[in-house]
Amino acid sequence: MRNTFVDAYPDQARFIRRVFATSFTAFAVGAFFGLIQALHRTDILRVVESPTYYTVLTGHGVFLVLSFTIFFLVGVYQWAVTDSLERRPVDMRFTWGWYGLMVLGTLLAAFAILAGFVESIDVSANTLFTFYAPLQGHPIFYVGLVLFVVGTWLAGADWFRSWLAWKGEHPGERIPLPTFMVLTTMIMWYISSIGVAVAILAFILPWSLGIVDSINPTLTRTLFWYFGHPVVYFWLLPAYLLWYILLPKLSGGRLFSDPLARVVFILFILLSTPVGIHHQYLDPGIAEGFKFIVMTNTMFLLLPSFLTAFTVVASMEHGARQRGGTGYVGWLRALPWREPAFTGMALAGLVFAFGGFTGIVNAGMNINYLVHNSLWVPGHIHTQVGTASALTFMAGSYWLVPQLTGNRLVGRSIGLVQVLLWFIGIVFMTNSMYRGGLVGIPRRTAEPQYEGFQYEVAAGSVGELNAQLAIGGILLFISAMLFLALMLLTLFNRDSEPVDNRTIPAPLSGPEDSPAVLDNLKLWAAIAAVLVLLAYTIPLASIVTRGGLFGPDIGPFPVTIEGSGSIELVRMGLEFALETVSR
Amino acid sequence: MPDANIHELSAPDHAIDHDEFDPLGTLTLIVLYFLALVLMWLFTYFIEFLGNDPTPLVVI
Repeated sequence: MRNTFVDAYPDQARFIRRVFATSFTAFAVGAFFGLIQALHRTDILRVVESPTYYTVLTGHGVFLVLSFTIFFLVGVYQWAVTDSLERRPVDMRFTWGWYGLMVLGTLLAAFAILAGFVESIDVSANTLFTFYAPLQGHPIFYVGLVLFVVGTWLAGADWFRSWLAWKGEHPGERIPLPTFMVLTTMIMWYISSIGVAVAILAFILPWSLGIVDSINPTLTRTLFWYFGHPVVYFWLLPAYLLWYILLPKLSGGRLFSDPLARVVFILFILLSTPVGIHHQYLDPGIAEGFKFIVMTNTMFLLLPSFLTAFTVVASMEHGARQRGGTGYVGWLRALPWREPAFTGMALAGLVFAFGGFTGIVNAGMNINYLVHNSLWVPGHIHTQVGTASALTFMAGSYWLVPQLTGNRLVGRSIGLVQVLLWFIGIVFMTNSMYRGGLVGIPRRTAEPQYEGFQYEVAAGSVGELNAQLAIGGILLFISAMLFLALMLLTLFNRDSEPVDNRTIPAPLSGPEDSPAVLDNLKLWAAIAAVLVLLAYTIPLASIVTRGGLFGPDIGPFPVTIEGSGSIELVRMGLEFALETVSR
Repeated sequence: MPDANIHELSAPDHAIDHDEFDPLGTLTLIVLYFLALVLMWLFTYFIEFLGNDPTPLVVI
């Protein structure tokens, strides 16, 4: 008998399909914006005025790293909780409620961003994804973000509620691993998203509404990065969940170790948040000593990633050996490379391993100075969230969407081409970004071409770097569209059956091999809170003591485009700089 | 829409349990990755530090 997810939980499958549709819509818009940027900044094709580039850039950031990733996260987590607890939410209306709130928030923020394209609407939010002061967007943008984040909090509450209900029915049992991963991710998210909530509600929103005149930029930046680093794990952990839960099965094997997986997720609760200041190595106003502590914490974060590399690869090897693979490296040939779900995740893991190295460069206080604010940083982001997460989500969808629809995946070999195309595109694009960053090409710049100045590229040329960036961007866009087309066709591929059922094989080493303290979520949350207090109390106190809660009279710099495009923007920038200096 | 895609998904040929499985292939890959990291660090050191002059001292 057919046993897919949709057969067991039709209403949950319907809900998750809806969530995925939202995620993929954001993906389509964000990917298109990415294409515009890749062609614009390389001066190959400029379809928008350069000031409008920043509207596109804000949309690219917000739609991809907030909407696409986080909607996908809540979809996958809903699947993981339902499937592993084998129960529906306590109250499905509540579930639809938080989804509705997230959609409403997204629509408001999207309206504020997209209105930047329309001159007749006096609304814009060209603040980029990192919406720090003094860049100021329309209040609707911040209200949208707040609603979105509150929606995710309620989603977490919903999963905790399901778990508590399950616990009442299963006293003394270990938390099933997928649910454990969901709950630990949400604990990390609760701890870390407080920062952005405080930054918006207490400072940035009142400031954009004109209730307060001034803001302390260092304070709001620090609060942003308090959230801004852990949020990358919010993008990454659903990919980890798929690597731990799905990839062993797709490889034909079983997860190597359930206890190791639990340890990894606990380490993310503990270490994700007290590291945010590593994004501020070049910020004045934070003592070097605290930056050093944060660097040490960041280097410890490599540990869960190395543990993951070991556990996931060992699980894949187990699958390969069960499928008849032999030898030290020969077993790799026995893996199901023709399966896009498998190959996409494996390639995403490979890119992640390389991007991890570049993350060590970013995290090192001294060597960070070399790459700070250069094109290297978007290179890092695109290997990590843009591939480790995004490619895993796409590959995971090749298995999940048939489970959610009861339809067979359309175009399995086109899917294989799609994930390969993404891999090739990202190699081209990030190779260009990393190398461009090393020679000093700035990030977030519509026209990084300067007269009377030449970048010294050691091997190759700027023209070659630009060509790689543009080719990479085009390949990624084609790949994204192929993925979306396959998803759409699969949705309508009725009268067919998925090739697989919903069962996930038990780990080789199960939870019974680990101490029960791993499941003591309160303990880990408490230790994480202490670490956060240690890392942040004194820096925040010193920022507030020196600059005041509302800052040394920093006026807003509304990011609206008036008059004749770029000249006007430059004029406003100069006026702002002069005003700040003359104070 | 018909899809001529009637494969089996990753069916194992035989089961290997916990005690029979030594992830030596994983160890091999980890050693290779470690070597790649060391080489990249060396490369970075030579290119970025030894290849460049010291930061100029600017006296105003």
